Amino acid sequence: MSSVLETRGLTMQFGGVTAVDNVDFRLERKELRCLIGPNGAGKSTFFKCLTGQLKPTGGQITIEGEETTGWDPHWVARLGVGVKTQVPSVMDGLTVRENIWLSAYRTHGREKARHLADDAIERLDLGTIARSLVGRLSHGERQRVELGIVIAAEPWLILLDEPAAGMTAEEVGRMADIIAELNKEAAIIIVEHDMQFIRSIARKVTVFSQGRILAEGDVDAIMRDQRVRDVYLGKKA
Amino acid sequence: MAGSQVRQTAIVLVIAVIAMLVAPSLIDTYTLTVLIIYGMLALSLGLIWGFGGILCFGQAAFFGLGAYAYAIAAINIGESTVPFLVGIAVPFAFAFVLGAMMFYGRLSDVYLGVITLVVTLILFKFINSTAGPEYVIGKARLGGFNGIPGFQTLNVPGDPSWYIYDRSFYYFCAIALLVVYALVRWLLASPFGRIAVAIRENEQRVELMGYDVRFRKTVLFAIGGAIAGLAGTLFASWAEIVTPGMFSLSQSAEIIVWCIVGGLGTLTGPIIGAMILAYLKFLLGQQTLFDSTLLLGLILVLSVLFLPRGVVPTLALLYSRIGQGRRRPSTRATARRRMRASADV
Amino acid sequence: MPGNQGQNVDLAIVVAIQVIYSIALLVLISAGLAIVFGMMRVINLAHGEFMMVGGYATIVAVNAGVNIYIAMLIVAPLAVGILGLLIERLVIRFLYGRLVDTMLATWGLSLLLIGLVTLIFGNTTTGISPPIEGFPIGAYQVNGYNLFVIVITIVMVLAIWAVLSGTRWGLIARGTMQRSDMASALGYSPDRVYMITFFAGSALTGLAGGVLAPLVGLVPTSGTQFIAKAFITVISGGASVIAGLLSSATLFGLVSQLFTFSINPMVGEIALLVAAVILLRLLPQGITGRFFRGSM
Repeated sequence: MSSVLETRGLTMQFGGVTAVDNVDFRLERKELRCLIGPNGAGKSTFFKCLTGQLKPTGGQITIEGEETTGWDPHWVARLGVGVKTQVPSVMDGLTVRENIWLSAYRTHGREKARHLADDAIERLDLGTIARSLVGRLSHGERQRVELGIVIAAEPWLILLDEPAAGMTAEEVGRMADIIAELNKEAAIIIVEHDMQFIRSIARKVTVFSQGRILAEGDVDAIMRDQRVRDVYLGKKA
Repeated sequence: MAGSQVRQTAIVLVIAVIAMLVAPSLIDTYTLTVLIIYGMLALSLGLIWGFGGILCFGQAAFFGLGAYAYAIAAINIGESTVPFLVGIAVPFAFAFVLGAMMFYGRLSDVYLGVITLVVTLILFKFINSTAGPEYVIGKARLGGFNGIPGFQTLNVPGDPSWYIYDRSFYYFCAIALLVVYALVRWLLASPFGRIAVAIRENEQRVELMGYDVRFRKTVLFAIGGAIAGLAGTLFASWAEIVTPGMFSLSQSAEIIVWCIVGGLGTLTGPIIGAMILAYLKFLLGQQTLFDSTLLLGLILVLSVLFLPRGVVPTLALLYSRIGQGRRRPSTRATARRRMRASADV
Repeated sequence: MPGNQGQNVDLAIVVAIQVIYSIALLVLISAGLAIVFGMMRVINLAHGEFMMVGGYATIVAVNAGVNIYIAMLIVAPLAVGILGLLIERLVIRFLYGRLVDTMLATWGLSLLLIGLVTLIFGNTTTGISPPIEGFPIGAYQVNGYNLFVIVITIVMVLAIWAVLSGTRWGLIARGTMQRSDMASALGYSPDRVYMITFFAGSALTGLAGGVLAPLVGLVPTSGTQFIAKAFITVISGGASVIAGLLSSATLFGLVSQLFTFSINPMVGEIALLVAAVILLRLLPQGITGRFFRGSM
């Protein structure tokens, strides 16, 4: 298997603080990986380096064989990388349909965009609110709209930052199904806190702590790892 | 363009044509013409500010550049067709370069405001200081604070002695405004326009979709510059003189007042705002009791405090509420959003 | 030739005074704006008109027989401080956190003030003569009042520094600068802190207006010539009030004087503005956003 994403020695410093510290990370084609770790472990910063929203201060990023270190976000996105941010990042003043259509339009042009948008709206069950302004929707609905924006572009690498946050149990279940479905086509990285949710979708997890990778491996093995329990579960308990 | 939007645009155009035909019997065409020109100027800022989220404190710079470019070209060429195009192209190019510099530098709102304001000041000071005979472009002397008089005004293409003036100039300007309005509506309904609005709403998301936000903002800003330049070109023909005052900060302030009073996020709002306020200023100018600056300031302060979304969107909101025939308690935020949606005229 | 050399020394002194004067002038006209921006994130576009009002207050007081120094240093700051207080209570406080709206509203206020002053004093130039005579250095004549402006500016900066670093109020103010919820955490109402800050900023602006009154022929639109310079000095300086003010004023003062001496004053003015545009393009957070971080 070939890797779709690889980082070598990735480092991000803010002033004196090292948020991401010399991270080597590798993601295989169509892999689904969860990133876990306590707050402030550097997961979100790591994400932002991958998407180009932050320019790393050291190391390099390779996506699908292209070295993308220091690229602007729109260039990274054009490689086929879809991103769902932690707080739903959507366009409040546009309708659900417009939000999703714009994403498909960029990648697939006018004609195909309509079908892709329709398809995404149906898959995410947004049909009844397709003409509503996104600003008037509930948090869970906005989460789904953002996911719609991501999948309408048909990316093959998807970064999801806490996709289940603030959702009802029913919504979380549906989100797990959607992610499994997406994973048939695309490699996915998920930052998540909800362990039950992680168990339901992931096989392999990577644990971040203080900007470094603390452990990596099968989800059950990781949960038994004492170091992980100390930094992550220990704090929670 | 969706069907309902085409209908809306058509209705606005029909009303505007009727108004264009009726208005000369109420107000003299000389005054009407300048009101239309100001409407066009307001439209230029209404487009980039209301739909692109770009607050430009120096829209007057493009207005003045258009007028000066036209005047200088007209003196050198003598026939108005090419100067007319130059009057649009120069501010377009200038706005493009300025925009690229700002947007590729990722400057935030406030800094955008400062830079556009400062650039306007630079132009104002520079033009003001060109009174000497050494400041010449071709045959045209820049004239400093005296401005440039005595250039060829608008003529029928190909015949420099056949002037478009008085009533025909009025119709020319009115139709130009209608055409620009329709084009801008079309632009906003096109993917380019939707993306521009999306950028206003959430720049980060649009970037993550893979759009080059900086380039698109630059283009939108340049289009705004071109429309302001067109207004300046028409103004030059109307006033038959161009002066540094066109670049002044109070001119820029006035454009902002028109937009904010008329209503951001709409196109008709700024146009109507400009026409009403400019006419009000004209009427106030007839008497000496009351200073027009005072009133302009008062209107700006009051509208920021009490009508943050402007007159037209507020009226549209009221209308849609009455139309719904029921009162629903709603938070300020949803009311504002609804306003924006209902008033996308 | 010793005579020639002496003349060169004289020239150097005169040029140095002129450069320091232009820097001091920038600091003086920007201080009030800097305090209000640095602590409240409010950009007061009526700043120039506040100065203009300070100038008129001085002239009116002098014409009424008040000693010119009292008029400049006490009457003008007090008058403009009260004006600022009024405006803060009536307009600004409803707009906190809405940066663009405050800019628009204060722009409206600036037009309003121009209109009001025109209504009262008419659109004519008024002025008073500087109370200090010029004196020669070698073959050159030096404007004595310019030295007075320099001294006043230095005293003012020291006073601001002393208040910010040495008093309880300064501590609260600095806390509020870092984090807006600091004041309430310390048990002070942020509303009061903002009110006092705006009063202080306005009073300093009034002082600047008063001190400059003898230097300019005052008309109701006099303020507009200051606002742009003050505005860019403050924005270019960045978030730290004193360090930002001093660094950007020094930079712009040097640039404008360099071009003024080598070409002419108009080019000097334009060079200042161009320098500001370039600076903001390179350092969008202002000078202290990049350097001297965390300083006062």
